[in-house]
Amino acid sequence: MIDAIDLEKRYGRTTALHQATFRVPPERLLAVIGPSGSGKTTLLRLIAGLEKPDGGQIRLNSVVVSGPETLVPSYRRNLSMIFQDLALWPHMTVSEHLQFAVPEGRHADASAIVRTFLQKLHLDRLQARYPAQLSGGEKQRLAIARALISSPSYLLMDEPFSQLDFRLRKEMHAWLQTIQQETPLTVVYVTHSLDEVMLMADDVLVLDKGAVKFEGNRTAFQLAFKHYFDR
Amino acid sequence: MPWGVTSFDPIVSAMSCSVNSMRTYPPFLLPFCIVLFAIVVLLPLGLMLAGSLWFQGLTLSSYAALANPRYLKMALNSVLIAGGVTLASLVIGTSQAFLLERIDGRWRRFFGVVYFLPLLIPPYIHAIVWTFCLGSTSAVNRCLAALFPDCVPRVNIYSIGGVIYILTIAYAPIVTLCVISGFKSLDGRLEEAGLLTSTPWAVMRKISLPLLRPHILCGGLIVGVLTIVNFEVPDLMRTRVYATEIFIQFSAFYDARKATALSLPLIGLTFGALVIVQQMMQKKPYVVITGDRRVARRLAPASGPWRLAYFLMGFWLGLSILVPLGVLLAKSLPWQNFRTVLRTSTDEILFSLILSGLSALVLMAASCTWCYLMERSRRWSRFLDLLALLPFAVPGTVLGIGLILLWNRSWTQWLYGSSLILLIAYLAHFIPFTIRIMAANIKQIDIKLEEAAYLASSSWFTTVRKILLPLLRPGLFLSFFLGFVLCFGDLAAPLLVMPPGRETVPIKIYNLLHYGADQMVAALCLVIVLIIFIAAGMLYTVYDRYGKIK
Repeated sequence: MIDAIDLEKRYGRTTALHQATFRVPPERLLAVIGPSGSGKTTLLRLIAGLEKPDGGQIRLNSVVVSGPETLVPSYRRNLSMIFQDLALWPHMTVSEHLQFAVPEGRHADASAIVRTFLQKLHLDRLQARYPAQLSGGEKQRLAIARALISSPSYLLMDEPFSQLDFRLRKEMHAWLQTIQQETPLTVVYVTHSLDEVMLMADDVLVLDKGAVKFEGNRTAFQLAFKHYFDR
Repeated sequence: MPWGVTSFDPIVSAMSCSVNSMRTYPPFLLPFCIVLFAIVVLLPLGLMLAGSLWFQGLTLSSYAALANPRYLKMALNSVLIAGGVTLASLVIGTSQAFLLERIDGRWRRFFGVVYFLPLLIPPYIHAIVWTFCLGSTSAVNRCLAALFPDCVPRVNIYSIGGVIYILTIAYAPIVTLCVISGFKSLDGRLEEAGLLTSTPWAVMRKISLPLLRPHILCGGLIVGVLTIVNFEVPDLMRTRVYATEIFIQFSAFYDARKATALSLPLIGLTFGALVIVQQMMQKKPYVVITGDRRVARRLAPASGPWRLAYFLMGFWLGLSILVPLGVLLAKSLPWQNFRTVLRTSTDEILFSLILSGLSALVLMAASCTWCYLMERSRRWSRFLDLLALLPFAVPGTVLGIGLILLWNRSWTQWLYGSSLILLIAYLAHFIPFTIRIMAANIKQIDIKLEEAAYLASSSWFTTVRKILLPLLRPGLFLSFFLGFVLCFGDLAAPLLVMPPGRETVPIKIYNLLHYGADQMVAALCLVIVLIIFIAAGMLYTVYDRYGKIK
């Protein structure tokens, strides 16, 4: 469970988030939508521990992990993130990516874990390749595998499929749904696409100018923003 | 290994070249530049080489000296010093860059401003300072002698270790500068992706450092080459190396043939290393600067061991900046010495300022034109890039000898006897440095901007004046500044080609040093350092107001 309480984040004079409060129940997928500059990515970075909030708190399973005086390092939060441009390391092969992301306590059986994930995401034939030698879909699968190999409790996704064409996006949606069914994951998914929201989200959070404008389940969202869907 | 991420980093990209675009420049420009380069660099070197092979017929007699064990030992000294300085600079420079860019210490901003100040102090001034500090009659050694009268553990600065120490102080900021430039161009998300599962230390070892390898390599290479061609610091530290021997052969024994023969392995070695590293960089492009690049956050706060690392950095910067300034000030007191220095050296200071300013302007214009051709000419790009590396590998003394052989003739006395010869020497000696800076800047200008302007105005000169030069302002400022600092502090070239009746400040210091006028030397060194610091401050102010692209 993720709890955000009165979250504040400022960059100089610009307020990126203002008193944002919301909750993501366990094993649910929360879609975060809103116009550009509304604070969606900042929100993810705060949850990931990549930024420190100026006010408020973030709790993971009721433990305070972020606050103006507290910042638990990202690698101790048991979460993963898929970045918009995937942030694959150009100097590492597919298997090296996965080996790096294996958690410290499980280094002894790292090879076996990596092999399992390579097979699971159909990357076993590509394990010696570098990111530049992969297709768009393969890169996405690698980013997903890297995010999941540490068996995180939380998965943060920052418009991960926005740069894909329609066919690949559909394929990735299917992948994600399968993974979600197989793994007990709480997901925060930032997107611009209403289609993605309707396809995958359990709950929806609407941000505008750094403030929460709506929080509710998918059905409530559809009703509240009926005018958008009727267009 | 096709990593497939386009390299576009200010420093590293300058070590590689790409061929692109249609030709938009006037046809006379390329031959003009090549002829000019030939006159300034290739002809003097060619003449030296030919002279070394011709003595009453074709002969290799002067090259027999290369087999002499004495020279082999000197070569070993040179390699040992270059290796030591490069290794120490890599460790110190890379650690400094990492701390400044990725660890959030309280003093980070302050250190981020002062870390490159030791680079502005010419190496021979560092050497003079440390001979004052740790020479045989220095306070440190006298204290040691008083404390341990029976077994005197002297600190011997006149040694290979001393040379390595001094040149590391002078050159380590080059590595820091290169690696910081790499950190700034590194997409922060690559490190953040690692931070989600690993500690900052693991991220640094497995992600940051491998991605920054070209920058580290580039910094190490520059330091290595500068060290191996440096003759003044080993000379002051009474350590015989190849570069000093070349100078001695020419200035003491008037044996230009032997000096040439000795310089060839040095040139071959450094040029070979430059070409190899350049090839490696072309094959391994690494990190991108993209429009939506995210500036990386600090990986960790400065606590625990990081705080100790910050303390060590502060200590090192103290040794590199505070000690030189403090020692020079203490040594040059009483204040009357400054009055004497300013009264007796005004001509030299003004001459150095004007000459360095003019040379910096010429360097800036020449390197800008050269890099433009390097970037925009389809066929000649690679050739021009390699050609521009050549003077980088040639010691200043060797270039000086070549210039003497070429221009010391009755019909060229109008040039050889004037300050123009110094300007040519500076141009030949320092153009590789300004070329590296300008090349990086020109690479960052999309050819499409130029093509759009070319379609609109059809005049190449208008395009250059209104589009290219305004976009190149940061590079122009930086290359002018670098040119000025290098020319103002250079000792090697003017030592050989100084016209009669003239003296630059470094030459004056060198002469005073040999007369044992330590107080005057210290005062003059301090004046030089202050002039360079003031010039740096003024140029930065001007750059901040007019140089930045808004």
